[in-house]
Amino acid sequence: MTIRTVITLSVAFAVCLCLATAWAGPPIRLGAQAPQTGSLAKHGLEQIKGIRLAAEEFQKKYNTPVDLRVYDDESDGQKAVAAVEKLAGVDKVQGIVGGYGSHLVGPASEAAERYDTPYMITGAVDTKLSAKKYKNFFRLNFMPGYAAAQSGAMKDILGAKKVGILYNSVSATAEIAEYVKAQLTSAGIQVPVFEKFEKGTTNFKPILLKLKDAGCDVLLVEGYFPDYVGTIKDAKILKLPVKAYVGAWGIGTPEFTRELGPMSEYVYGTSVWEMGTAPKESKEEEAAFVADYKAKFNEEPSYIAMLGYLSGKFMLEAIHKGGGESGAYDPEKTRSVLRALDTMSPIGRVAFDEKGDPKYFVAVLFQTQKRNQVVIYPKDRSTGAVVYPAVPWGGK
Amino acid sequence: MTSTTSIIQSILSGVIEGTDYALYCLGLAFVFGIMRIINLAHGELLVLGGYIAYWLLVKWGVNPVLAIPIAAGAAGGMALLSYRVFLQRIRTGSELNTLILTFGLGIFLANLFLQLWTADIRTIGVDWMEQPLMLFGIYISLGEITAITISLVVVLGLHFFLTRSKMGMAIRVTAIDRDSAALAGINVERADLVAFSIGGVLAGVGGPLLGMLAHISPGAGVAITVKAFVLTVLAGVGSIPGLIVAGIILGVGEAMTVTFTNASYRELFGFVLFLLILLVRPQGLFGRRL
Repeated sequence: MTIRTVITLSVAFAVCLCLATAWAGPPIRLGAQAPQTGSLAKHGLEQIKGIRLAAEEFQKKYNTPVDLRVYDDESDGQKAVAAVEKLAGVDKVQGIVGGYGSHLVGPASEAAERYDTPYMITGAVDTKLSAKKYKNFFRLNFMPGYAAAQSGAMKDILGAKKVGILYNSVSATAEIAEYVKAQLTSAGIQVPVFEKFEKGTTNFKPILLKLKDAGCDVLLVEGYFPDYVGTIKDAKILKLPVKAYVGAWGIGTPEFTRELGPMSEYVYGTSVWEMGTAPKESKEEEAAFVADYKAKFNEEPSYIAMLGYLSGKFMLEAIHKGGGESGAYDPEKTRSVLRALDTMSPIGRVAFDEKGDPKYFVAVLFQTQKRNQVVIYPKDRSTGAVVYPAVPWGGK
Repeated sequence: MTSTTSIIQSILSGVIEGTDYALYCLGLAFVFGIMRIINLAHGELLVLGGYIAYWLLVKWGVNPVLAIPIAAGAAGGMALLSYRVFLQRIRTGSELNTLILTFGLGIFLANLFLQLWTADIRTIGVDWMEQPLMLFGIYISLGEITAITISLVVVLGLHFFLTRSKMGMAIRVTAIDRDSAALAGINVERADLVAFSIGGVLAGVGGPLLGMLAHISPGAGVAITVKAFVLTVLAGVGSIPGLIVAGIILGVGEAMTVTFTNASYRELFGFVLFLLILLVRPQGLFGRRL
C-alpha cells in the first residue's frame, strides 16, 4: 500500500465520519425515572420498555439519535427526587418521562419544576399532584377518569344496590375510593362497608366478613396486584356471596391472568387501554405498537407499557418540534408544544389543561372472560357483553 | 352488626395467620437466639424458597408441598454459602458487622431475584389446596390446614432437635458459652455453620407456603424480616414453641382489631403489643436464654 493510498483512504474515512455525524444530528437527551427495583418495579419496568420503543421509533422516523438515560428510583420517594435531580441537573436532559405512584411522583415533580425540565408522568393519578399548577407537569391519565368508569358501570351495567369498598391506604387508592363512594351515594347506591387497609395486609378475611354481614352485592377493591391476589384468594375460601368483584388498576394485566388463572375469571378492572380498545382513528397505531412491542420484548404489552410508549413519543416529538436537537434548547418551547397538543391516540384523545392534567381522559371498565379483557363500559367503547352475576369463586 | 359465625371465622383466620407468622419467623428467631445474629436477609431466603417452589410447579408441575424439601435445601445452601464466604470472616468483630453484612446480602438477593424471575408478582396456585371445607358454617381451605400442620411440625421438630439431638445440644452449649463449649471438645465453628444453615432451611420451608397463601416478589422479603423480628421479640429470645403462641396472639389480635374496629388499625395493634411487651416484660412472653 503506497503512502498516497493511505492518505486517500484516511481522508475518505474522515469525510464519511463528518457526513455521518452531520446526517444524524446531535442527540436528544431524554430522561426516564421509574421504579426498576422495589415494590413497584413490575410497573416501572413495563413503563421503561414502552419508553425505549418510543425512542427507537423516533430515531427511525426523524433520523435523530436519542440519548435515553434511565434511572431507577427503587420505588422510593427520596430516590425518585434524586433521580430527577440527576437527570435534570447533571445529565441536562431535555425532558423527563416515567414516574409511577403518586407518592413518588409528588416530590419528583417538585424537583423537575426546580430544574425547569418538562416532566410527563404516566402512573400517578392523585388529583393533588397537579394542584400546584407546575408549568413542567404533564400527565396522560388521572383519577377522576377511573372513578367515573367504576361508578358508572356499577350504576348502569351492574345495577348494584350495596357496594363494599376496601382500599389500600396509599394516597391514590384512598382518593379514588372517596370519589367512588361519593358518586355511588349520590346515585342512591349504599356503601355499608368502607374500609382502609395497610399495604402488606395478607389476611383479608375479617374485612370480607363485614361485606358478608352487610349483604353487599359488589366487592370493590381499590388496590394493587398483591391486594387483589389476597382478597380473591380469601373470598374464594369464604365463598363470599357477592355478585361482582371490581378492582381499580393493574387487575387486567397479562401477568394477572397468568398468575391467577381461573381465579381471574369474571373480575372487573379499569384500564387506560386494552388491546382492541383504541378509537378507530388510532387502530393502526395500536396495531403497530403491539406488533413492535411483541417483536422486541417477546411479550404482550400492558396498558402501562402503552402509557410509557405514548409519554416517550409525545415528549420526544415536543422536544423535536421545540428545536431540541438544534443545540439551543429552550424548555418553554417544549412546554408550548405539549400545551398545544390535541391528538388522537390508542388511549383516546390527548390534550392537556392548564394544570397539565389530561382534558379528555376516560378509563374503560372491562371484565375478564376466558382470560381476555372484554370492555363493558363506557358502552360506546365496549367490545363484548357483560357476564353478571359472576365471580371466580361462585358467589351469589 | 357482626354475626357470631363471622367472629369465629375471623378468630380462625387469625390463628392461621399466626401459625404462618411463626413459621416465617422461625429461622430468624433461631439464628438470633443461638448466634446473636439478626439475619436481615432472612426474608429474602424465605422468598428464595418460594421462587424455587413456584418454578418447580410451573416448569414441572411439582406440588408445592412436595417442593418444600428442595426449597428448604436451596435456602439452606444459600445460608451456608453466605456464612462460609462472608459471615465467618467478620463475626468476631462488632455485632454491627453481621447486621450490615446480612442487610447487604438481602439487597443482593432481592436484585438477584429481580434478574432471574423479573419483578412480576408470583402466586402459587394449586386448585385442590384452594378449595374450602365447611365445618359448622366455618370455612377453611386445605392449603391452610396444610400450612398449620407444617408450621406445628417444623416448630416442634426444631424444639426436639435442639433438646434431644447431639448436634442440637452442641449448638445450644455453644450459644450459652462458646469458650466452655470449645474446651468440652465441641467444634464451635461447625456448630455456628450448622446453626446458620438451619436458619436458612427454616426460611426455605416458609417460602412455598408464602407463595400459596399470599404471593412472592423480589421485594417481599423486607416486610417478612420486619414481622419476624417483631414476633421474635414478642415471643422472647430462645423460646421456639413460644413463637407459635406469640404468633397466634398477634394474628388473632390483628383479626379482632379489624373485626371490631377498622382494618387500618391492624398494624397499630401489632406495634402497640410489641411496645407493651417491651415495657412490661422486656424478655418477651416466653423469653429465656437457651
